[in-house]
Amino acid sequence: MPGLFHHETGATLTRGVGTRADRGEPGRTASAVIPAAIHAEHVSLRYPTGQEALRDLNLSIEGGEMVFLTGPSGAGKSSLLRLLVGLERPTRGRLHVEGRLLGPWPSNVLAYHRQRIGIVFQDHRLLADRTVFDNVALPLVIQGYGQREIGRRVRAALDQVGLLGKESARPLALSGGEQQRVGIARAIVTRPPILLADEPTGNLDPDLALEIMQLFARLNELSTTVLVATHALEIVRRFRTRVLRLEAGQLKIDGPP
Amino acid sequence: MKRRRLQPRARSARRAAPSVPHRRLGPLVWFTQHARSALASLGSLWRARWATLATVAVLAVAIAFPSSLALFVRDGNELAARFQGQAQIDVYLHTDLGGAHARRLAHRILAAGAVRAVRVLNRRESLAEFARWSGLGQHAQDFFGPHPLPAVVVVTPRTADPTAVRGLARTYARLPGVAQVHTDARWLAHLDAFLTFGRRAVITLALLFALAALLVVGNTIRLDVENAREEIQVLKMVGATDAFVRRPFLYRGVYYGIAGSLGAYLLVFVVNLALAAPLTHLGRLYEAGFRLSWPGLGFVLVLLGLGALLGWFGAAHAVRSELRRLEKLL
Repeated sequence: MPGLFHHETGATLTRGVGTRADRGEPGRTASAVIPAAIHAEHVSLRYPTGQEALRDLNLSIEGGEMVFLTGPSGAGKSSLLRLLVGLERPTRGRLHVEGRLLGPWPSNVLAYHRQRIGIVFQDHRLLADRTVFDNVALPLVIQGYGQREIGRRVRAALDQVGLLGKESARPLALSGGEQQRVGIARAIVTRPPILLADEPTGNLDPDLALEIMQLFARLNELSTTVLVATHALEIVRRFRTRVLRLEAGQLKIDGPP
Repeated sequence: MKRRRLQPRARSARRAAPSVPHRRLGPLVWFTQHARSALASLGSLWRARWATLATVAVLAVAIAFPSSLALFVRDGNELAARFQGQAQIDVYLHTDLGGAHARRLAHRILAAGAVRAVRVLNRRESLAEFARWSGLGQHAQDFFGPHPLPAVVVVTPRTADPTAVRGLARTYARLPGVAQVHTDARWLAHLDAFLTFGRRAVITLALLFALAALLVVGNTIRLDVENAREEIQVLKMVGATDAFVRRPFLYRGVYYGIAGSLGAYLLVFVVNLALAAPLTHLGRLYEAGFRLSWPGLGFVLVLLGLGALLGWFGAAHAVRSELRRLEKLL
């Protein structure tokens, strides 16, 4: 009988030798069998309003992959991301993240689950009354890192997004692109194995949008699994990466752009 | 039967749930996070200092009212205890009986027990006492003649209980030569009833005002949570546990309670300052020796503890319900 938390390592959920072995996570070795980062089996989601956001969705995203999730507004892109971070539960089907079957977890388990996922929002969701440093440090403070480690990791994350030196700036003093990069730094500062982004370039001009997507690609090269929901197809086409196209809650295309 | 067998399984499944890998927080980290929350809460209260002051003032009044009343009742209790310790039965003899009969009666009363002390006043001593109390002095004899008053046996019973004192008075009234028995038990009973009412009033008012304090803190914290809505949503999305989100608001509640208690202490002090002199004068007129007591260290500590508890409970309830509501809005 599967419990609320069920770890599966079956053939359909696993990939070969771990490419994320050097992530420094306890229990992970180069020879370990690593489950798929995201695996959905016949997942459907119907909101209490009756709206069917996802219908019989089947997909598997391997660890270290970068995937664009495209589709028109209302196709179910955001709903899938909400499912992945545990804001919603599938009405039907099974959804695994890093081999963990998402279920009706207690709130603290859900919090630990979210600590292992980096999330980037379209509207950045930065705290205006705090500095860039404090915004980026937030997940580390929550996870109880010491001051020295927080400082080291925040500077490293800001360096990765090209904002080193802006630690003491307030978010409102930054441009839209810079704010989004602060949001990305906050998402990667804990070095999560999975990075989710919901329309991260929605408010940016094309040049900035491309810059942000290139940043995601660079993070993916560091073996982070990246799932970006976007409808900026002209930018998606510039990347040689897998694209999942959702239409009316169903997966219509799974392949290269 | 089937349900009984299923329940333990469900419990074991729940126990298995928290196995998502995460950093275990050691005691030092736990302490650091609490210290951060405590300081951040102080900072946020200071930044909104006028709103904080208004909330603290309301709490102070709500806590001060029953506290002042409790002090009055405590002083009343002490006064009553002092009087009850000195309960007195005056046994008046017929005017034709002299001191010798009074002394025999006093021996009989002493022999019967239940008496702490007996004092005999012959007719001359009765007049002298009356002259002293009435303020007539030497003129009393001029007014009433040489022996207008009866001899009196003044009995101090062991018990201070008004019912028992009344029982003794009835017994003495049946003794030979006794014309009348007077006891102060009646007004003591009135005082006792008044103090019983006072105690009940203090408890009832304290409960009502505690409820008011809870509502004030709860409502204030609810507004604080609403103002921090965006921050809470971000915190939840980046993996904050409910305990982490709740913590600063609980500290705020405790701070409100403690500050409200300190304010209440100041108000009680001011009330005492205003009422002490006239009450002492009133007590002196009645020869009651009533004096308002000042709130001591124990009183202050109890006030602070209760204030902190009220603040914590009010905040905990408000944060729990608000977080549940915000979770749905994520």
